[in-house]
This record gives sequence, C-alpha cells and structure tokens, in this order.
Amino acid sequence: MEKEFIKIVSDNQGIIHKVCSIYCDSEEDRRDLFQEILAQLWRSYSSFRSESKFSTWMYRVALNTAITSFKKDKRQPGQKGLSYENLQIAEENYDSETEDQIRQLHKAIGQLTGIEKSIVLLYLENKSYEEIAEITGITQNYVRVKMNRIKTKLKKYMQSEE
Amino acid sequence: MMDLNELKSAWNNFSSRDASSHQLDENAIRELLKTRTKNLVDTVERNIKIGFGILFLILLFLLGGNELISISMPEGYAIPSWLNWLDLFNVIVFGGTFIYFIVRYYSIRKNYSSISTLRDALNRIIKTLKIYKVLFNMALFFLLVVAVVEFITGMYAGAGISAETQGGRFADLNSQQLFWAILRGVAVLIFLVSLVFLLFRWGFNRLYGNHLQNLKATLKELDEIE
Repeated sequence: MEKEFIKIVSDNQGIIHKVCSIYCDSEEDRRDLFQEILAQLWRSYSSFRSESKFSTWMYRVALNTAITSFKKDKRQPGQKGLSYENLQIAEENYDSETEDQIRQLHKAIGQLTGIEKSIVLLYLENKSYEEIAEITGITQNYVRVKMNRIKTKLKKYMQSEE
Repeated sequence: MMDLNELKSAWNNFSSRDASSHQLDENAIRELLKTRTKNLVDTVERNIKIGFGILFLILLFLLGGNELISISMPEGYAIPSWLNWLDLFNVIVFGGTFIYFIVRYYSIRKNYSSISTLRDALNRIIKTLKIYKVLFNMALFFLLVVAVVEFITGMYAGAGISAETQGGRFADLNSQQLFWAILRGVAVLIFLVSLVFLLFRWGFNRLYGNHLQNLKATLKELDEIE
C-alpha cells in the first residue's frame, strides 16, 4: 500500500507545493508543512474512498492541515504567510511585468485569512464553486458569498498598493 | 491594476514553475514519510498519555498511601477517622475524574478519527488542546490535595511517634502547636503548587495560546458562514 501511496502522491505532489507556497513564508516552514501534509495524507489514506477524485481528497487534507498547522509563533494560520521576498522569483526567468503581477498577487493573498486563502487558491486553480464546496466542506452559496468578499478585499488591497 | 483573469494567469505562471522547482522523487518522499513530523496534535497527544500515566500513579499512591503510613504509626495511635474519610473521598473523586477524562479523550479521538472536514479538524485540535490544559490543572490540583492530606496524616504520625519516644502520650501534645505546624506546612504546599500552576499556565499560553486563539477564530469564521 505504501508503494502505491508514494506513487500516487508523487504524481500529484504539485497540489501540496501549491498549498505550501500559499501558506508558508520561508523555505524551512515550507519543508515542515510539506512533511506534515504528507504524514497526514498517509494517515488518512486508508479512509480514502474512490467516491471523490484523488486530487479532491488531496486538496482537502492538504488545506485542512495547512490551516490548522502550528509553528511556534513563526507560521500561524490566518494573517501570516506568503512573503514575496522569500519566494526567490528573481531566480526565475520572468519578465518584469509578470514578476510585478506575481509580487502584487502574493502580497494581496498574504492579507487573507486561512479559510480565504484556501478558497482563493482553489479559485485560482480554476475549480468550480461546486468543487470548492466539496473540497472545503462548506456550502456552494457560502463559497460564492465568500469569493465575492475576497475579490473586494483583493481589489481594495491592490488599489491601495498602486 | 490586474483583473481576475490576469491574477489567474500570474498564478498559473508562478505555481507551475514553483512546483517543478520543488519537485521530489519517490525516494525523497519515502524518506520524508519515515521522518517524524513536528505535528502539534501528535506532541500533545503523547503528553496527554504521559499525563494519564502520572495520574494513574497518583491514584495508586492514594490507594496505597494510608497503608504505608499506618504501618509506620506506633501501636495504639490511629489516624483520625476524618482523615480516612477525606482520603476515601479523594480516591472516589480522583478515580471518577480520571475515568471521565480517559473516556472523553478517547471519544474525541474516535469521533474525529477520520477527519474529512475543516470543522472536524479544528474541533479535534481545539478539544485536544483544552483537554490537555484541564488535565494538567487537574493533576496539579489533585497533587495538592494528596500532598496536603498525606502531609497532615504524616504530621499526626510524626507527632505520635515523637510523643511516644519522649515517654508521653499523643493526647498530651500541645494541639495548638500541632495545628500551627500543619497550617504552615499546608501553606508552603499550596504556595509551591500554585507556583507550578502559574508557571504551567504561562508556558501553555506562550506555546499554544496564540495558536488556540487562531484556531477558535477560524472556527468562528466557519460558523459565521453557515
């Protein structure tokens, strides 16, 4: 079972990296959270039933772990996380416009709460409201309401930055 | 200012590169799985089990403590019956609370064994942290009660032995002196246990206080939603 688990996680590890990049503000935190999510996935793997897609289940476990995870006053669920300065984007070959957009995006997402970050991540990943509701365990209506609030929050933040 | 489509495009651009730069092979994943994580719940749950062990030892001491003291009492000097009743009361209350905590702790574990929603995950951690805090406070409180009762019992035994070695009788002892000696001892015990209690409370709030507040705030945010 472990072999099968490692294979399937390896194929879908992009999900964990995305969650880690949204919730962590340093490489050290990121490594810890990656490992914590991995451990949680392994622990819950026996309860995974094929009723939902593996990626849906993986998102759910990863986001729940990220929101509730603990680091001694370094990474807290909620307001902290996503420091653009630690993302080392300059090492990548982005043009200056893209780099500026990513900088803005990360700063804005960094202002959101743990739950809002999870919704915005799924939204950015082009998930439908139905899928977001399934992953987060909240109703579609609420996802819609919350997403509108998040958009307003992000817009307000970006306008204030300009 | 970027619109939402531009946001999505910027995110896709970043996340795909970021994920590929952090990509791990299967061996690295296997190694990570073998390493112990710094998971909060695991640590707290381990500490709770240690706490149960300590409480169980206190319970054993409560059950056997008087037997030990009775052996050391000189012949003809019995422990006052009110102390025996107090001891019995301790055993019943302590044993009952101990069982209640074990049942509560394992029911939390059972109820949230397969966490599927964020609400369950939050509830499990909040309840586990709360039970951890209450368990420690309870252990300290009972330690205080046990220490005070055993101390008073010990004082009686000591006074009896002392009177006998000096050729007197227990009844001849100056009861006022004995009373003040007991009171001083109890005051010292209360002071020491209170100090440990305050130290623990400070340590707990420093370590987990913020985290607990954040978890409660997240749960409140979820509750406001529905």
